[in-house]
Amino acid sequence: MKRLGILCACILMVPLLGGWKIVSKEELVKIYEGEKLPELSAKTYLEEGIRPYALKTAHPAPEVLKAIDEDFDKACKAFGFRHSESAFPCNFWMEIKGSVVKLDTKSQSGRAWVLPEGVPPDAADEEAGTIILLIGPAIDSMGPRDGYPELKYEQFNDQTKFGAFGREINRLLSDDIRARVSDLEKGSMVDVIGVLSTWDKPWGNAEVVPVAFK
Amino acid sequence: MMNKLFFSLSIAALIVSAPASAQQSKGTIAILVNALDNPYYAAEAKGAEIRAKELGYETITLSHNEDVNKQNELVNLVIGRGVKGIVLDNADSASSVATVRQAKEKGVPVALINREIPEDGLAIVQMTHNNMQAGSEVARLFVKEIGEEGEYVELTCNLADKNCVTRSEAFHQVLDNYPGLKMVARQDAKGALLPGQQAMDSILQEHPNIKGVICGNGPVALGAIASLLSANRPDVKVVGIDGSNDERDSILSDKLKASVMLQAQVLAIHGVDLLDKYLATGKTDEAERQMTRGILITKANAGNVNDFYYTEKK
Repeated sequence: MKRLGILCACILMVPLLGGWKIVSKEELVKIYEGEKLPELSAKTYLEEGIRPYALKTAHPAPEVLKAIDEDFDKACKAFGFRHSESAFPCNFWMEIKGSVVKLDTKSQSGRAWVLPEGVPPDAADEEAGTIILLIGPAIDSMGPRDGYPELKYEQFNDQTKFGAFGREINRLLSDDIRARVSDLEKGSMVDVIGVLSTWDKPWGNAEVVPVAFK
Repeated sequence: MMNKLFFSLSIAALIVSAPASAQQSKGTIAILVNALDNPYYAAEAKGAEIRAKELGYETITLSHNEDVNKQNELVNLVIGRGVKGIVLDNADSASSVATVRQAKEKGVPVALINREIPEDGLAIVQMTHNNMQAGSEVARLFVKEIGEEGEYVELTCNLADKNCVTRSEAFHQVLDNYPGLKMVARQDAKGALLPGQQAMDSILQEHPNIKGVICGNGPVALGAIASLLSANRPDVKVVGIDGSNDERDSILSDKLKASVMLQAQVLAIHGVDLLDKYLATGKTDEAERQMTRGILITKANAGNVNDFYYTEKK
């Protein structure tokens, strides 16, 4: 019996020492069924990564836009983030506090023109000095994905999958934004955190994707 | 005495002014691309050749015409000729894995440009264009041009090329968000001008109300324009991706609405730089997979384009 016990112990030790793993019955079923490795979750990245990052790093929009106007490259280093200069635009996280002066909710690419606090309105041009919030449902910017340092192309190594992931983030954002702006009208006050994604100083008004509402 | 001095000085001057090619060469780099009569691939080859020669290499440039078998023959040929390294725009992503592996096993490093292969650790670098970004940007402009309602056509480049598939995906990532936009036809125009023109001829007869055509590459876009002009339909807006000189000229003459210039020369030059670094040090110190942005070209900046190189004019 003693010899049998030693033999059994040896039999068990060999695989453990050899780096093998003893699996449960449930794990064995999963292996046979070819369960995929856990995939990245756009929802998790948005809620636990992008939003907290945005809230933490955003600067007041007028300050950021002034810096961009003076020197784009310096502004990108000071206020923005880009994975690589060769392949990605610079993404500026900013806080926009102000009043809605114009609204377009009919277009698929809905827009809200916000005049930041402290910026005087222009009687001749209501859009002058405003920042445009992209309120969807179609959000034509990958800023939310590309503006978050912990989400990299190398995690996908496939442009289509990387694009699809960004699209899913935007879809989730769009649903959230549409719910929050349903009561928005001319004169409404907003305080949002969003991202401007741009290769260079914007031509015209800055267009920002809202990611968090205060 | 003066004659001897003069003679010595002359010899010294000759050595100092000797052209680089007469000095010891660093060896030969092979540049293998697709059809050299396509301006994109010609620009890649040009960029790589110029850079390699600047760095002290001789070059040999060959075309595989997107034929995997021919590509393999050429790779074996240049390896047999003792090239130091290869800059390769490969004929087919999946089939080229074995080709690149073979070169690596024979001690010849390969820098891949434009098309990736689906395996890491074989090429010293895999440089591609950000086709997703390029496709998205031109699609956004396309929507601005034709509006959020109406009929449009998609003419793809060769869908056997993953880059073309990615561009089409990018288009739809934007366009499918607009339920008022109807794609009435989609055809693979094989990435060439004549098939693009022929496809447009036939689609236009069946769908005369189209507002725009979005194309997977430059030759297809130019083919579509040729068809539309001959049908007297300058109202139909056309956009593409590539950014050749012909597309530039078409944009400047208000025919093509926009393109995205792929930085073919930048890609090729960087591929040669990394090959040179690898040959000198055994490593590149950079990520294997790298992307380079496309640059949206409209009438406002088309003058900055030349041979797939973009220079901001002050």
